[in-house]
Amino acid sequence: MSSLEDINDFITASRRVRTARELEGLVLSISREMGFDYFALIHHVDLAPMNDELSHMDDGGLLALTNYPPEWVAAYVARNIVVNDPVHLASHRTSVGFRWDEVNKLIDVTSAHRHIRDDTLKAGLDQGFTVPANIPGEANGSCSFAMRFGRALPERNLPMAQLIGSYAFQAARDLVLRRRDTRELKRKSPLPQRQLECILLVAKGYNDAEIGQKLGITEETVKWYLKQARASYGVNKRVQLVMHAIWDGQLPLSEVFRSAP
Amino acid sequence: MVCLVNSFNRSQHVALLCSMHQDRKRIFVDTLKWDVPHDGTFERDQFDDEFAEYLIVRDPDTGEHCASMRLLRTDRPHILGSLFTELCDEAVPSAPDIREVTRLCMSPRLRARDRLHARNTLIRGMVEYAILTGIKAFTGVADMTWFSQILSAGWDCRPLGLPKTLEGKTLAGLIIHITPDTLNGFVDSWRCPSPALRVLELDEFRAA
Repeated sequence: MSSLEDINDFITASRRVRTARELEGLVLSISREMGFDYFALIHHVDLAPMNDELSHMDDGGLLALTNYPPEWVAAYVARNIVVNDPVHLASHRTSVGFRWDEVNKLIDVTSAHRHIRDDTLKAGLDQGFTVPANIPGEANGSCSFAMRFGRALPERNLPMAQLIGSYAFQAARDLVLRRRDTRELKRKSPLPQRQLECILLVAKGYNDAEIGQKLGITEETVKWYLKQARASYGVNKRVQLVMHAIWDGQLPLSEVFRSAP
Repeated sequence: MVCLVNSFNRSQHVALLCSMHQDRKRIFVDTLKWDVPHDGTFERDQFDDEFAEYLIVRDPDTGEHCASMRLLRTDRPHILGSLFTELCDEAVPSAPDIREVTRLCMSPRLRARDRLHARNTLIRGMVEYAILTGIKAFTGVADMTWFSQILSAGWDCRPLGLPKTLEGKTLAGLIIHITPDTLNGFVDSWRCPSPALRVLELDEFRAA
């Protein structure tokens, strides 16, 4: 059997999956076939809602599915390592799968990162390969494959793992998205264009008077728009407003860093 | 609205095509640094011939190009079959009812939200085109940079081979199977609520 056939069988099966438990079995089995010991499919957000029954996925809340050692998952969630995991930070810099020993080519590794890496090793996870899954307007995510301590990565299967990782993430994402209450999504109506333009200029570092000049409106009007926008997120500070607008996909980072005003 | 432009109605859409080739130069040559033929203003290659068809989202106010793709027949010379055969582990898909999508291009003038709207309109137009003309599948070459995003639409997209790193980019050949159900399968963020494809323009009727 060629690996392309294996991949296609996996895709077909993953498109039929209806529960997180079924997907877990499917991803575990193909991970083993490729020669990996562990997998972790996750959104890079607070993982506190994770539970053994997988209701966090079946309820449409959070994408998190893994067979990592349970003690490590518990420590990982309790210490909220997800936000400073060097592998995740690296996965935000690329869209192509990378080996964990190449993380230092993608980010500046700090002592905190080395500490996390040491703890990962102590938990029994050694080499790994991570496939980023960054979709504009959604939380970043990834699919990692890893080896028990002392076992080498199955090098020749890394291109296959790249595809399987992307498809596994898509299957998990599809499962979670389709379960999500559509009423809840509709409630989050988009910000009016004028408010969004003001928030964008806040993110670019302009003050209210400068924003008013750029948009051809008064400083008071700018203040009013920003006040309305803060109210719709229920936050008080400008920086919170910017973060919320980025988080729910209304203000893409690419827009913030565009050189044109 | 998505215009279908081909050798039959090309003369009706000269300005729109110019605007598209200009944006293609800005995106593929200036931004992505692809090594493709251009004359300093327009990007145009040997596949932009009388057999090429274009789906183009046009700005209703300015008439300018917002987003587009080029469709090539796979039973004639096309990109996957001519330049990237190594991305197919088996025979390169080639049939009268398979089209290759190339030069998918979003205008650099679009703001993020308009960009998503234009993308969704274009993709809906592409599926409608397939359903109307009996096309069963689209093939294409994808940079892995876009792979998760392409899959995220929720359609039946399959790899044609394992990804390969060519000239520093990790690329994969893809095939997207289209059925009458494809439009219903899109996740919300990819949906375009109303029919998109415009095959004939009113002024074409007048011209005829």
